[in-house]
Amino acid sequence: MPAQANPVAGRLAAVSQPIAEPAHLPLATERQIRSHAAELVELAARHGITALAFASPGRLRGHLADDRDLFDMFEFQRAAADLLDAEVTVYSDGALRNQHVSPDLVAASPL
Amino acid sequence: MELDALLGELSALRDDGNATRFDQDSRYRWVLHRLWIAVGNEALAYTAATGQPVRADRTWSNLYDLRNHLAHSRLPDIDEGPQQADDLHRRGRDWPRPVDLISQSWRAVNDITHGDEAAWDAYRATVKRSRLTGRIRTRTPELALSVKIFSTPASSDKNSPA
Repeated sequence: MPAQANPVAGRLAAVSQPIAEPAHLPLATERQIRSHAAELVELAARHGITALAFASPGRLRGHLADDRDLFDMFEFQRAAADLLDAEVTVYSDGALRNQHVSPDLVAASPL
Repeated sequence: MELDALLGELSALRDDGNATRFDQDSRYRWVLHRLWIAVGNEALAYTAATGQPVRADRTWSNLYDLRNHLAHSRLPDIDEGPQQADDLHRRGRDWPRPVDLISQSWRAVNDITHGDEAAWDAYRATVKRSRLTGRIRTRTPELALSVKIFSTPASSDKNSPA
């Protein structure tokens, strides 16, 4: 039986394709992070981040110096990802002032 | 909305408010979040259009990471303190760079058309017809961006066939 024209596919064909996201690395495990703790703390300090703490896989908490901004945090994230070959996201400890902040950020343990 | 329009919206919102409003008006804050997320998506689209990885350049990387930070985090996990408010409300440190690129793209088109109005119209008409289908080959990143800017359909021809 010949394939019939699919009106939905026909319409969708005119829709532009979604943007291709770059491949993501796996989340950094606690073991990976703790085994590179000293290097991560030093790297973080270079970007104005102190009090680095492990929250959960791929999630760190840190304190961003007053003269730094979010982009310093992102640059540290990328440097940390290069070091660990794994994905790392840093959350500013200023978020602890918020209500309903995720428990892993509250309970994060220092590196 | 394209990058230049998004930056224009951010600029207008910035002028409409201040740090106090950012702190106290969550809807105002969330609109700024949404616009920065859209800017990050445009950063990704721009780098894809010009054949470079989004991670290859610090400006685009930071805008992309800002998008991820705002789009992938729970709202309570985002620090909205004065420091971050300053980033999101007033500026991105590298904000001038995309703006510069946009003005470069206009200059690149101007180089082709030599400022001639009819040539500009012809260029815009050609780009509009292409609708980012890849039928126009761009020689430089600036021209690629100009294709994105000019291919945004005007409201009057949104429903016209591609």
